[in-house]
Amino acid sequence: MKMLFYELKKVTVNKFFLVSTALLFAYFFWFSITGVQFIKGSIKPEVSEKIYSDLNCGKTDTERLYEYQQDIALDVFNVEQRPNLPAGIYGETISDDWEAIENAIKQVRYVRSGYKSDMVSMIKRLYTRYTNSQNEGNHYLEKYYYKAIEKYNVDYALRPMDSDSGFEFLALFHFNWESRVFSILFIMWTAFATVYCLQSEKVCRCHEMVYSTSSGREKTFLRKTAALLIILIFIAIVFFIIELIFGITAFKIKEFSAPIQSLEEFKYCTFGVSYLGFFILINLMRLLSVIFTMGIAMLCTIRAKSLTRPLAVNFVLLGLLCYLMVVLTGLHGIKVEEYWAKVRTFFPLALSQPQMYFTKFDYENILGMPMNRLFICVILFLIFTTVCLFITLKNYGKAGKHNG
Amino acid sequence: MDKLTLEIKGLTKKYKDTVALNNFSVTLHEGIYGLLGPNGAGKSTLMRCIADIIRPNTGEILYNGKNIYTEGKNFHKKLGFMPQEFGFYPGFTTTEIMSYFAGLKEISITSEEIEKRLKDVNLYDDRKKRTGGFSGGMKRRLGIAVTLLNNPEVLIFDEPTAGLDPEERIRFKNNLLKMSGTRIIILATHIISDLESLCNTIYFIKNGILVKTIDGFHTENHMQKSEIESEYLNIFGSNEDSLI
Repeated sequence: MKMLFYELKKVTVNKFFLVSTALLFAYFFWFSITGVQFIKGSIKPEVSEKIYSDLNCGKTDTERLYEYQQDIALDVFNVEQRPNLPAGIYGETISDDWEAIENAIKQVRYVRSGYKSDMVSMIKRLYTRYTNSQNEGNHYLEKYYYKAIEKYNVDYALRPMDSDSGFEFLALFHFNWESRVFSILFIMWTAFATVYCLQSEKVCRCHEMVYSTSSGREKTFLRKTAALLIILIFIAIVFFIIELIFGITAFKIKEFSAPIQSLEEFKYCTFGVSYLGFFILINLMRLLSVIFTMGIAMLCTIRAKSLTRPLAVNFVLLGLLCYLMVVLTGLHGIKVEEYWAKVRTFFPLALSQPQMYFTKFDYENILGMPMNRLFICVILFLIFTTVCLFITLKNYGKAGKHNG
Repeated sequence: MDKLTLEIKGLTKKYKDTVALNNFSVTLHEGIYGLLGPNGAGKSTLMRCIADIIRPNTGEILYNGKNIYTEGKNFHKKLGFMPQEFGFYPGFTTTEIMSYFAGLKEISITSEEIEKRLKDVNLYDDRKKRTGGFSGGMKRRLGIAVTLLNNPEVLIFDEPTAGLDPEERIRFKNNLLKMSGTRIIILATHIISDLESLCNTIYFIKNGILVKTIDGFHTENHMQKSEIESEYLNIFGSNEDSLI
């Protein structure tokens, strides 16, 4: 434990590490706070919170909400010649209530009937396709549609929840471009921390003394890996907790146990997880993407003699990958996005972009078997990261014939 | 007790077009051995090969009959190596450095023992100071303390006294003399006064080749500076830097 503490200390007392961590957090807080302010400009979460609270405890129902909305629409309040915009039942004014009610009615309809009817029609269509592929003798499609029927033929106990805040919260921290930029910064920061952690002996010029000791190579490398994992997991947990605090306080999210399919955006999601489970899952995916980065950065660093070269290699490599991930998919239209949608299965860095894995039946043909893309990606993450760590372990501090 | 034996057999190390060591062979037992030669003669390369920091292109090194490269950790446990240039983690205190290297050398050491070791190198008063602010001499003294932590059987010092004040040099030399009876100690230097009254054997190295060996000096009959100097001048010619 003491040696692990020393490895942690080596990284965490480094000034550049502290500055880069501070910058990472600064960006995180900046986009979180500005994002929350932007969200508050549309439907106010506290208004929705009251409506859903009344709906869930039976104080009101959609009929009464409808009537109230009609009153607003008929301009009843102006007819009665009130001087100012009247106060709303739920919000400060009736205009605050309008959009929140609209959204709530839509959400209740979706949860009570919309979802089920959509799934029934979906399964019917899938069944037709399934029987067609049986008749055509296409075994892969047969398995594909059968799997889809299996996945969508589930009766989730959906609950009305503020879908606007619920989705905006996830979008702010994981789906929109600001969060993508944050993921890139997190990835870059990970690369830097990894390179520094592995090169700290060379930076301090004590590598020869360390490597000539009995546990200066493999064991030191394993301790470094453990220290890096602790740092990455700790930082990821801190971000997770901060996001959760934002979710509870700014977005007023309460229905954490509701199935994720309660949000219309995720009605085709094939994972039977709750809202909280989904939130944990996408945070976990981001963590996996940075652990993958750690593995790649280790591999790029291992034979380097200084800090500069591996940093440059990592930054260029990751920069290119991130360009592919964010800029191309964001700006260059559908073709690139389609291409990316296929590539992401085999590219664990894509785990930092979780949305695509959960909004459709996201399966890939692997040796004639339909396999979930997220599952494949996680398996590949495990394989690639293990290979990277193994190669690095075997080469860390190794005396080579070509060293000099 | 069997004699300790370090056999260096036909060691050749090339860096691209430069031959740093050329078919170098010696056999060492307990005692102090000096490697003398100008800068770039191959002393550091030889030491780094023995410390398993670099591997030779050809040749082998046997410690008590076993190849050190296949022995790996077992040999490292018996080894103490202080390179020519080194530093420490600037955020660590002196005590932390000692404790960290004790962990690396897989030895358990008490804080009292660490304090004793620091007193030996006159760093006790600086035990809580961070090494980032250390002078060259202080770093070297800490390096000596770290190298000796595991009471190694094979001790390798590359330019150990550079930056040490005269008092520290004398203290260091006396410590080496005390330890030399049960250890193989190798000193590389181009400072002739380091080897004075200290070494049992001196190897003169030029362009990676062992050009001359002077041995047979015992504690009561050490080589004097003037003798070494004249040998040095015979082999390497005049070199002001080396005649300190």
